[in-house]
Amino acid sequence: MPLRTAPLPRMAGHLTFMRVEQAPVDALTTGRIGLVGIPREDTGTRATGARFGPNAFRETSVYFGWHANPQFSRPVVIGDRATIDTSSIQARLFDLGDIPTGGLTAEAGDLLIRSTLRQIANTGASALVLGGDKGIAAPALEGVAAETPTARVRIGGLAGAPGPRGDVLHFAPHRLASAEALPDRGAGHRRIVSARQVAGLDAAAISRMAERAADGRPLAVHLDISALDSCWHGASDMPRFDGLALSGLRRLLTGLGRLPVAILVVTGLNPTLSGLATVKTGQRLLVTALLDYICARLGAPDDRSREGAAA
Amino acid sequence: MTVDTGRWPVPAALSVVPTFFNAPVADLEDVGPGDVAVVGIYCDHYGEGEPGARFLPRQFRYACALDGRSPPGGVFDLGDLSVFPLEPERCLEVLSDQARRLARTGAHMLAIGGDYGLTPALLAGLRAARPSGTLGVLRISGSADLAPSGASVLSRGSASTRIRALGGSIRVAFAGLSGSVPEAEAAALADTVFVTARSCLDETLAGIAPLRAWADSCDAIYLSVDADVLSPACARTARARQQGGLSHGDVLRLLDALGPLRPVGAEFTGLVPDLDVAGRGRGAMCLDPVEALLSGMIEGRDPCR
Repeated sequence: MPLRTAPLPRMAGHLTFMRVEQAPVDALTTGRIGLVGIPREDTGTRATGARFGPNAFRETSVYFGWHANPQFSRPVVIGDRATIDTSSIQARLFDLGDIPTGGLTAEAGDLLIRSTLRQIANTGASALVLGGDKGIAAPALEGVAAETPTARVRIGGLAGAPGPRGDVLHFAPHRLASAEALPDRGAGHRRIVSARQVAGLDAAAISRMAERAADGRPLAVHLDISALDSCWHGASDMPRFDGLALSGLRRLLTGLGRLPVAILVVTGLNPTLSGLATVKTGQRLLVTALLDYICARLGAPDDRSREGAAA
Repeated sequence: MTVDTGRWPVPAALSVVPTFFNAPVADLEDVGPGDVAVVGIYCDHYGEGEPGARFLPRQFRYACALDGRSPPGGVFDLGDLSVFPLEPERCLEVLSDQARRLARTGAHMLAIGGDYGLTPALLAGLRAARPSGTLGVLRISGSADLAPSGASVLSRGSASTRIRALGGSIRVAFAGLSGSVPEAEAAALADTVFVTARSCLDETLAGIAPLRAWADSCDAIYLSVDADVLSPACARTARARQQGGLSHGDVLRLLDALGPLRPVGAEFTGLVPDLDVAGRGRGAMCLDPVEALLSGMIEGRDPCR
């Protein structure tokens, strides 16, 4: 008989992401999501603290524990009081822990990240990576790409020229209110979609757009928190005034999640920034967007109803 | 650390979510005689004063993860105990039941967080599992909490009274008491072994001799340390205090001077931690005193002296 015979309060106990089971990489198979944290950051940035991102996500995500842990009562859609069946998420989402990059050189850390993500990709499962600053994205994406060719999709980040990394889609790049403002950057193999344009797209349209761009390859998505609008200013070191609203991000992640996604990397959350309650509220809203992605990725039945809520 | 798999290097283990002392996660079936089962108590709803001590287990785990210290063998993190913050009687009942089942494995419980008002329930469970012999409860705190239990059966202020009422050869002693004791508690303190904070600050610690004699007369010891024994500069606690009190070093020196108490159980209560996700605040400051409790329990693998 286990020690606990009664439920825990929401914030008590070991804080895994959404209260899912901890598991080793070996437990992953096709059709499952393995969540891994990478608490690493370049300490040369203006404000440090992104290394606490994985724990902040986990801490916030326990508010959504009922989606992944049967100990909590089932969620209910407030509007029609219908119970949401979350059984399709339970036992298909695992928290693998953090990649221990502490004390390693940048090169050794990159190698460890690449190899760990390659091992996860090798199982056929989809990886959900919680950073860490944007520096973790490259080795994580490369690790997956070493196992299976992917089509890279970026959300947020700087609108630089197309590089060898070969993003096929770039949503809401920084300092770009509209794609028309920077037509040359959209030329070639990459398509740039501004935050303003995302506001006019539904999840199905985003899916179609990404499917065409991917050309049969699974997606490798990098979401940097800098994609978000200024009302999220307390969450990111790169606050902006032309970013995505929560509803746009939710539709974006829902649309992408319905396609084969080998990896989603989330970077740039700095939970130590002084933003008063905005930080915690922003983190919680961000987890709702991740929940949309997880529901879409695992084909949860409430995916469509959640899309309606996001709209 | 990495291992060579022949194809690519992978970490020998991904670090798990933060745990007490970075110890492995376990449940009842994993612990046995002599092991130390560290548990958190997410409940401060019945104590007087500022709430927030319920967050100590979480912040303490964060602090341990940052600190990187490794636990000795035989130490396990059993998660947090089930509690019912809105149902007092049920809460005490379930805490007592969990403490009883844990004690029956032969493992020693180290409880972190929560409020002293819950301690009688833990001791009732411990006593039910180990009914024989004299159990000494050494309370290291700024206050004796010997108020009559009539007003509120769950309050912290009457916790020591309720522990005494458990009967069954339970004896309570105090260390670190502040200079002022409420008049209502003075009579109850008269026939009790106690040592004031002033005596604990004395370099020779000669004043703690009665405590040593008291400990020698007990068959087993339960060690209860409250953050309110610390100076306000060292800790923010649920209960407002006057200036004065011990430093972390003074508490460590006191525990050391008491000798091998070999506690069958221990707890650290009353600390209201900073709620930073980094765990760098007051949770981290109390790592050493709590580890001292752990060390004492590791030394005392024999539950009876």
